[in-house]
Amino acid sequence: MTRYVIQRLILMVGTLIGVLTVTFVLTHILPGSPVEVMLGHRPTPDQIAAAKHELSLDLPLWRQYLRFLGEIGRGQFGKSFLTNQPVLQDISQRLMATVELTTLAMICIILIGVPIGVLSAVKANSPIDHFVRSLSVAGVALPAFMMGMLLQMVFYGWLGWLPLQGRMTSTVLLDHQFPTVTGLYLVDSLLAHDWVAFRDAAAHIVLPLATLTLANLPLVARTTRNLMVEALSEDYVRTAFAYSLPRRDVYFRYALKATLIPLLTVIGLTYGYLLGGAVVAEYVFDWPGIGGYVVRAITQSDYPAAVGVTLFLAAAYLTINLIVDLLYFAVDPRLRRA
Amino acid sequence: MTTETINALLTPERRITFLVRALHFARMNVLFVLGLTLFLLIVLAAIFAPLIAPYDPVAINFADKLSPPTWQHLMGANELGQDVFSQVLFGARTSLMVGVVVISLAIAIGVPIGLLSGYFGGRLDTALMRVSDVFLAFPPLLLPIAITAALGTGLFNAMAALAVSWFPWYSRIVRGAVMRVKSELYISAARAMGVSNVRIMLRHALPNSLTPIIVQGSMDFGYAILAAASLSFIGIGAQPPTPEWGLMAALSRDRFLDNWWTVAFPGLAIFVTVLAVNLVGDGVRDTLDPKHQSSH
Repeated sequence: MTRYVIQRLILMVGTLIGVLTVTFVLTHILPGSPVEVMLGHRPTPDQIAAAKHELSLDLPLWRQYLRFLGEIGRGQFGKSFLTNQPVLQDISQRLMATVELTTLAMICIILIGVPIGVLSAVKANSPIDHFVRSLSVAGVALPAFMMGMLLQMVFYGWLGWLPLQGRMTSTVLLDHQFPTVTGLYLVDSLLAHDWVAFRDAAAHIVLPLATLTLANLPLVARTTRNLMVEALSEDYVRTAFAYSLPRRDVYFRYALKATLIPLLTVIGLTYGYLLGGAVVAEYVFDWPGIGGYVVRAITQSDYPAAVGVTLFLAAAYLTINLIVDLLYFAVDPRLRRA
Repeated sequence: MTTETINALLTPERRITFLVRALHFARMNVLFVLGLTLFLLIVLAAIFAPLIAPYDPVAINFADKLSPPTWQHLMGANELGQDVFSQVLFGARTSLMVGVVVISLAIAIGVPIGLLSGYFGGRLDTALMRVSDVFLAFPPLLLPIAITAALGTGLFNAMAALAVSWFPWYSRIVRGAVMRVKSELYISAARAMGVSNVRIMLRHALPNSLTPIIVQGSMDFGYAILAAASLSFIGIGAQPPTPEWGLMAALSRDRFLDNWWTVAFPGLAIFVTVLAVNLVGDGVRDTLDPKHQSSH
């Protein structure tokens, strides 16, 4: 197992260098120059040359590449053109907002999606099953941004129950300054026993959370269902029923266990979709996380920020996939011996 | 309608068997038929958009600015007084084209790589697969966003970006299929007869991977439409005045709470189209891929 982990880590470093290379190609070789963005309208040739020198864009490409690798390797992501802050600082300020949103979404997806899938499989080909399957086919056909706007229209525009966007009402945030412990508003406000702040934060997260959950729920529910249908047709499940073990035990302790490995794979994939979906959802709901940040960075040609967040998200995605693969060992004892 | 009635209505035997089979297929695959019907309607709407559309989709008419749905404007009008219904119709052209172009491009890039990788194996395989892995290491949608930004915003760049970030799936499928058939006797026979590598790959290995490619392609078609709409929505895909559903939603974003029709109808169009495409994709998969029956 240790060997496998080391192999995977080496592979991951290789992939990360590949990711760096792709990012380098995208920012340094393709048209569109950061210099134009930095200098604005009608710079003089001297200004352009000076700026290029400053960004070492006048070096040969291979030297630029090595420099780029070196800087990233030393954790120097540069300063954002837009915020004029170090990119890493920008990321760390926004990271927890995204973590809060995506982690909660992941929890909701698992807690709702898996039971629905099991129910659908247990009642295979019943009206419930057909209903769940129709919903999951329909659910993936609605783009996340549409889902988000739809929710805004209903719950803010028509019903007025929930706030339109943002992470907290600014006045509440000013009046209730709870200490930052984790950076997760929901947790921090709870720790400070600040119920007003907690309620405000909770009200703000509902719609983006629902958007991300609904957009990714179908995949998990559908996969669980198909895996469970297969598991339920196994001999040992029939035997368990023959022994008249409690149905709930058979479903959740025996059958569901057999589906865990492929299910984990899908959950890992879903985390990737959540990170991608967060980009759109944060944009729609003006959520101050790194997803909305990267969209703004990219659309406004803020190269250092775009590179930094892209690399960060790719690394996060790879790490999550590695963790998921390592969880296989926890789930399947046979793998541990091999 | 029973078999007997059909028999009574139509005497030539072959036609009956065909009809019976078609009816049986339709009954077994209600969703597929529904999806296919919807899809064909959308294709027709896209083809005949200039004939059906009551207005020029880009014609600006401030007199009708933000008109709610009426008989003049079935789906209302947007901030510039453009007819939403006409825009939605022309948007169908954009979205269908996006689906076709993105999937074809992804296949055009992915298939040769998969063929080479699976057929020659060894170091070439390792190298090509590692490179493909890099493209899969980005969270979905992030790589297309980055590539589009680097190439410059626009629908064509967005399509290219989506294809570039999507091709590894096709490489993997083809590679797997080729590796399975590589050790078959007929390939060895062809090689013994001195058939060239290129010919073996194209004539013998490729046809064996066609089914999974078609299945994957039909499943991905809807994804391509969704992703392109998302890119347009965040402002780096289609640019005005191109009629594109994601862009329509984005342009109405400031005032959509009071003017639901400017967002709801393009949204409905995306939903119905992707739903139809996915239903067809599921049907294609169930028919072509016996391992993957969705109904047990």
